[in-house]
Amino acid sequence: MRRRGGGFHAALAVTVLAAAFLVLPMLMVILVGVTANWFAGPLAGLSLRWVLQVIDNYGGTILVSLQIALANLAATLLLGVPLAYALACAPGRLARAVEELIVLPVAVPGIATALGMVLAWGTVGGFRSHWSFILAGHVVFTLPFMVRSVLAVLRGQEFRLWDEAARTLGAPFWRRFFTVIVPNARGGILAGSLMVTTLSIGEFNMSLILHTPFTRTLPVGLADAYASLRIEVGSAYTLIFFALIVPLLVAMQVLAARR
Amino acid sequence: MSVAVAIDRCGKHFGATRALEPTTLSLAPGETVVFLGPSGCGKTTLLRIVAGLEAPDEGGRVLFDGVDVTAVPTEQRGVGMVFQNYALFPNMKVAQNIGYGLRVRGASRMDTADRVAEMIEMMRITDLTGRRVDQLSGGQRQRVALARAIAPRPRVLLLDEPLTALDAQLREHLRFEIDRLLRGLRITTIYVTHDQSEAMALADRVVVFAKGRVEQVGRPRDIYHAPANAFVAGFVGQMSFLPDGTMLRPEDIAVVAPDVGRLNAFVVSSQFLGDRVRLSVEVEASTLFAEAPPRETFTPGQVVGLAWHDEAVLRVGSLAAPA
Repeated sequence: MRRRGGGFHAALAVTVLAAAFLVLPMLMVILVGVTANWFAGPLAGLSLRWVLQVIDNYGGTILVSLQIALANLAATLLLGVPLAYALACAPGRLARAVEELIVLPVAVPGIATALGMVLAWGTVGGFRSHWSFILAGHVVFTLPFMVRSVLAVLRGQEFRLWDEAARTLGAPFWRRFFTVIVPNARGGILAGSLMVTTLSIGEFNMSLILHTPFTRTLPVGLADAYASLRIEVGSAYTLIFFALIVPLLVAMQVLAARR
Repeated sequence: MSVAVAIDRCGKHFGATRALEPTTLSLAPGETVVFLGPSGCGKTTLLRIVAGLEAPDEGGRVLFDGVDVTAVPTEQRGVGMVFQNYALFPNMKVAQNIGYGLRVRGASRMDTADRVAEMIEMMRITDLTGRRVDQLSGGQRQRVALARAIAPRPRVLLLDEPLTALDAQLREHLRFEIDRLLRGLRITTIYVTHDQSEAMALADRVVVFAKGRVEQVGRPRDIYHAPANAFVAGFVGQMSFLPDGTMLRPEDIAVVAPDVGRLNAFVVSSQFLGDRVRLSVEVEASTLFAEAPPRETFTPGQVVGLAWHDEAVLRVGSLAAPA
């Protein structure tokens, strides 16, 4: 094995310290979440009491978040994949402009976008108090991630050629879309799906503005729990959030490694 | 089954650039016509117009058996197309690729399987049926692409540089197979290539393109021996210019003993090409090429005689250029 110089060890030490700085708070939160009484210290015993309390009091927010995440996934798939395909096929400046335009909500602070939505649609029927109001915000925010992810795959391969071949063989648009384009873009579609779902479950800025007492999402409930209840409750809540989000993140990494 | 194809004043602009001047051509049913020319000459553009993948400029029309199909989208035109990069669908096995056009047009599973088996036998790829596309070599891919294009019994077959991505030996081998296939199918075919030997070998008629316009239309022998102009003459083969302006093909100039031929020349250099020796010789300050049998050897500065038959002289422009 190659001998490593002092520089390597110094770099390794910095990396480990930085990782510890980031990971330690999360480990703390997990520990606090299952500790019976944090003020007495972890030695006072572990307990699932707080986790159960969160499920009791905030179970609804978890369901709302999952519901919105699933609906968001469906919406971004339906809108994003055909849009990416259209952008990949359309040459020139217009396609570029559209691509930039849909990325705009990512650059603008979520609170600003959300306030804009309230101003524009807040008085339209029952939309404001329905959970689909938050969904609309999430779609605006996550759609570019789906489009970008699919577009990257479409641009990297010979999709236009495959499309032309399928056309000469007599396949109309939707037939080509579902038999040739989607199956060959599934890597990008899957990566995009995991990305938008993760973002939707964790989204706080817009949801804070868009929610009503009956449509609170998990991150909004989490902020409330930390602000008004015992530290153990907020921590247990975070633990549940981790349980939802970590498998998605791992799946994303596995997918990225396979490509 | 096979149709007559008429191309009527089809031109094409991309923005302000003219890719193709208005072009009129007609193909008889079952005829194989090769579009030959350097890259960017408009040959592929015209092929794509026939396929319906590009629309001609205003006023251009494409007719199949006298019926105007200009507005008919590609997917309803009934053409089969083979692409330079094969364009096989990576998510499907070989058999599914070949059967795609049949399934799309509503053929039953049974009929599709029968026709696919027939194509697989015809293309001699029996052992590849269950393979994934990425497990195939270039030559195998092109056979599958041909089978896929032919399977739905297209009215017109369009091949866009189908052999260009393959290495030289395979190219020659597949050229013979495509020739056999086209003779057997008797399907109206347009074949695009920049390779003059491919054009000569496969074509009933060759259409030579340059800079977006047709330079000459004719049988391979006419194109080669009676080119319409110096461009065609130079593109389809090499040329030697005698001091008096006479043009000959190098292979028509025989190297003989000094004072025996029509002219004497100095050998400048000689290249052994395996099946022949290519000589560069000098006559009165002009350099030209001649050919000798492979077992003869030459040294630079040596004096040789050059001989040729009268009928070997290229009659450039003796055939009328197309309107």
